[in-house]
Amino acid sequence: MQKANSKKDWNLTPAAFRRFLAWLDKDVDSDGRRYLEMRDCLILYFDRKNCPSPDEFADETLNRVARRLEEEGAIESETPAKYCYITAKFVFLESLRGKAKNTVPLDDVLNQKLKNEAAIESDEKEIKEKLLDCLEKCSGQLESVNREIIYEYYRGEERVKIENRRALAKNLDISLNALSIRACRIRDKLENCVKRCADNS
Amino acid sequence: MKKGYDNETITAYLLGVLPEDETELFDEWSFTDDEFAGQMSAAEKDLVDRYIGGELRGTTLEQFKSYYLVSPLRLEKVEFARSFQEYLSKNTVVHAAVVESKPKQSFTTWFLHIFASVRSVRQWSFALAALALLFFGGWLLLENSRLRSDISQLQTNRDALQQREIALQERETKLQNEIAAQQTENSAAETELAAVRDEREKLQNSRKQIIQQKKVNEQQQTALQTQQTTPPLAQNRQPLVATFLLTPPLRGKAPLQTVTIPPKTAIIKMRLQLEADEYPLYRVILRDQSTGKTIFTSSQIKAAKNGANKILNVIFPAKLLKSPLYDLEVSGIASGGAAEIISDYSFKVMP
Repeated sequence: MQKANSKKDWNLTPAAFRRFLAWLDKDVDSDGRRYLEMRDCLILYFDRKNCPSPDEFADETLNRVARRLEEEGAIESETPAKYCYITAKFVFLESLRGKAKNTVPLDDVLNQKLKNEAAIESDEKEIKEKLLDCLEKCSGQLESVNREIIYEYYRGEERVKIENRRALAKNLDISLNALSIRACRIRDKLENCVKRCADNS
Repeated sequence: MKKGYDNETITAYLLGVLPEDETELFDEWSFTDDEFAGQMSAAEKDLVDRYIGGELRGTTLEQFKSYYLVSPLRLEKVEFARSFQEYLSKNTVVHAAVVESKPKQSFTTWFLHIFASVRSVRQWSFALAALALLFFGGWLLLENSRLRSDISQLQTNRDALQQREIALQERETKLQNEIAAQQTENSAAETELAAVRDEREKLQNSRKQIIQQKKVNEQQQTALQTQQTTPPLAQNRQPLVATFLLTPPLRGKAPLQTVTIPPKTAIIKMRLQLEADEYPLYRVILRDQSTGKTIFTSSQIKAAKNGANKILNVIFPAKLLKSPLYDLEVSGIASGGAAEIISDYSFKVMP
């Protein structure tokens, strides 16, 4: 097993990456899907922790796990997901220590926030139009069943909405909980499609 | 729901106000429990939708603004949700209109068809009776459906409560196990810490000794260099360091070893030849024979090689030697720290 001279010198080789994918998949080839899911999961984790660059933190975490796997040959852990979480936690705690050393004055943060808000307001109209166009396109790409579900799920307000959801769950013969997760997945799919569409237009 | 979480606690987690231990648990589940991750994603969307719909109030709204809205990624989510709501409100109206218009059209057609086909009073009576029967049957069906729905709802509630209870029991057991594991870990960590401290102390002692030895070597080297670099006229000056080799004391009567210290000597270096090197460390005490007083104690030192023999290098200031007779008492120090006197080198100082 190749032992890196130092942590910073280590680069993810194609062989190490393949080994890492196999480990994440638990030897059932997911064609890289599991890797992407884990990366998304890490990005969301670091974002919930209000880290400045969730993408970079997620990549750093995956890199560390891959390096450990390459150096040790195997990783003893309940599941790959749990090990990734533990590593992410360390990356986060290290970032806190780093943040403590490089604290940003409160005024700077507030100014940046005001600038962001100003930028958001000026672009708001344009972005909204773009998103609505994309929603139209992406909604058309959904399977008709899923389109029906998402329309019904969000139809109405307060009491009516609750009744609608209850009726929809009954029609589909699933629990309300399962319905909310299913609707959530359809919305995620739509959101990702809209994101791609907005980025490309 | 399971594991003791619900929309309320998930919302608290998303707003960063859940206690630290629960936050860590939720962090872990977001990786390891797909059901929890799905539930959290749904709760997050609900939260954002409630914000857009102006349903958030008071502290929750404040927390949402100050914690949730600081991330660009989450701002994007809010932006998407806003557009999504707008899009849905337009499309749902159209969709609902299409869905609701279908049965109306068919009912009207059916009623007109009946009306056109009924031509006599008898036929009217039959038609009215059939209509009454139809309405009654419909009411019965509706009532039956309502009762079934109520029963189903009650069963769902009961199942949910049972699940919640099971989840709470599981959590309690898990927490108890975690506490027990933590206690074991703490105990192991304390033992390890003690061992590490002990090891560190030993290392510090060794380090001190090495530094001391190094200083002595440097002093010797300096003295040597001084001797070597002294100009010819100054070569008659006396050395600063005077070195003497003392052999192991012999059994029975043996002549006393003598040392002659040149004037102006500052440092005495005694090289004590050992009979056997049986200890990792040694300590040497210089004692005045006439008074019996200890006038110098060395630090813990290691034996050094001198050809085939092992020697102890002891260095002390020359000014300490004011009497004619002295003893150098050597103690061996075992690994456990116990000391044992192993030898006594007596010597006489010649004026």
